[in-house]
Amino acid sequence: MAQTRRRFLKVTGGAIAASTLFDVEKLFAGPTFIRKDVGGLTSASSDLVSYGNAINAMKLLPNTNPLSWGYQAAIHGTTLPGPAQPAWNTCEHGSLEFLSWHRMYLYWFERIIRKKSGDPNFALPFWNYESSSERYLPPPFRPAGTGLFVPDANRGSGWNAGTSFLTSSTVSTAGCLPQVPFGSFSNNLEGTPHAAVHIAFGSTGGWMGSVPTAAKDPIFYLHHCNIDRLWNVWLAQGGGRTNPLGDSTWKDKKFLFFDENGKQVWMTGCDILRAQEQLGYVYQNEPPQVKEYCLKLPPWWWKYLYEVIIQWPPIKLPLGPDPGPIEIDIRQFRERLLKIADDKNAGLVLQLNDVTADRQPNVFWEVYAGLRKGERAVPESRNYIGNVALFGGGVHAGEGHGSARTANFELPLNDAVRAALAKGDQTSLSLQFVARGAGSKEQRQYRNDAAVTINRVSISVRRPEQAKS
Amino acid sequence: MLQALLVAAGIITMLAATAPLPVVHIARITIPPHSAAVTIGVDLTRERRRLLAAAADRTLDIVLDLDGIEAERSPAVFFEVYIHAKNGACKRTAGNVALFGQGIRSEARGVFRPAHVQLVITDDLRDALRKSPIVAITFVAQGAGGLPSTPRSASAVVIARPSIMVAPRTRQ
Repeated sequence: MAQTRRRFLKVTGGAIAASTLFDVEKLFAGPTFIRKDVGGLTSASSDLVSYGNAINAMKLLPNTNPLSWGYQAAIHGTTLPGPAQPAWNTCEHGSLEFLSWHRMYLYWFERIIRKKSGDPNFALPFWNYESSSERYLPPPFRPAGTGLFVPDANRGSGWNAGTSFLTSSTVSTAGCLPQVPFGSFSNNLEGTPHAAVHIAFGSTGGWMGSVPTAAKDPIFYLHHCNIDRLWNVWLAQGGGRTNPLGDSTWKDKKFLFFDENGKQVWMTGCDILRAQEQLGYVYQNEPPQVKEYCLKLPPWWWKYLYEVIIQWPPIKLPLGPDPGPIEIDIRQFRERLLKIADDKNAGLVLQLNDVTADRQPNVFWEVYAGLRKGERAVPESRNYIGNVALFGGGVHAGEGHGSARTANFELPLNDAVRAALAKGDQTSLSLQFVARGAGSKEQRQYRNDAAVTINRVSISVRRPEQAKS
Repeated sequence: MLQALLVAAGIITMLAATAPLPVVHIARITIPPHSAAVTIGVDLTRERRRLLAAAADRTLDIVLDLDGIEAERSPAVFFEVYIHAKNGACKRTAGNVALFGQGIRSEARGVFRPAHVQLVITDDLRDALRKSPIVAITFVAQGAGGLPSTPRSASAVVIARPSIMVAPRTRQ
């Protein structure tokens, strides 16, 4: 049976359903801790007493000790003198990993506080400043003499005195929560309330206003618990909201932290998807947590061998309307392409690698191979081979924020090649990129807003490793 | 006669359907140090009708795209952004520009990353355009509430590539 796109999808679905190998090993690993709203706590509340005691104990340790207050703050950012220690200055901002990195950071920090305080029930509280009754610094953080206190010179003026407060525009979630795509939500949330709250402290001269000093103020961790909670709130709204589980970097990139014994631990996005099941905490009064899973496909599934048949120069998708068809010269390869297209153990694929855009294009592209002049570009056609959609990966401004990550696409070609070469007189295979947007109305011409470059274009044959032997 | 009118109406509808989504590029914006507020004017006379049509389309949003935002040092304020008619009042904020962890050269680790902020301004722009084709964008420095003095930017902030664009709606 030939390797068609439909069959490929069918087999993929079958493999996923049959294996359903989720990361179940971490389910029900321990008790569930409740991260409480600090607005309901007092100076005598056990979580705040324990937090203050642990901070005092951690401050007695040298900054080179991973369990010290200085070291933990430096993981977020620091200007401490001396050689940089493992994991220092590793916080993620302006990237898709902003939320996941900070969730990991809070998780290990909370475990350290639990151990240092000797309180096995400790959980970090969150600062719910969107509530109009919680716009001032929580009172337990104001008096001198506890580990929660920071002098005015480093916290900023007016906070300990109870005169400075967060304005409504500082704490608004109106810009982030309605967004459906993860990147738009994360980017908006990172701005407001996250950055705005930091800067409100910075405007008064506080540590919180600057990345290298922010995590030295104990209120930092309550602020970030609230940001972490808002991530859950966003997901729980549904309506297509989901984490970027299709982004392998987001799922698999490893970040270094330290456990409560000072031992190095590595975590990935897949480890922190479900706060309660995987990390053992919930937020007070939050809606039921959405359960998302990283699929673990059996290893044979993705072991493919690739052989490049045709390489083509970079393709540019310019600003504005669609470019015309790109004609790939196939004179030398015509017979071979047809033979492979009919080989039941092989698949022809169009590989579009190192795809970059200078900003969000605001369109995606339907890709057609072998479309002839006058033929309509519709997804029902055998010439339609898939989509190129840039979201996060590949976008250098906005979602990617200048990161070096590029996007890669692999589109099955067998059907399209058979359809295109059936008549026997073609010397070239056309590639056509058709911009689409909301509604995907065929008759509408969408405009690409970014300079997009597909740096590596190739037609390859893909064989499962099993088939080779 | 009626037939000709219908054909003409059909052609106009077709042209409207195939027209690309408009993007209005705005000149580089600089917010000088010690500023409490900065207002710039944008003449949208040419795009007014299409932007108003986009504002009425529930599948689209109008976005203020502020790309390439950078400051040498932390401005120690964030900026509330208002869209309003020329000489009109700032009523509700469209959102904030807040630099933390990106866009600040003195705090950059490794490769410097300018910040990129996108604010949905559909309703604000529609209201402003109904009053005037010349629209004002105002940046108001903001910090903690309750301070005795007006917040002012501690550093110049540059927005290298601002634009107003129409994009598929991503919120609900």
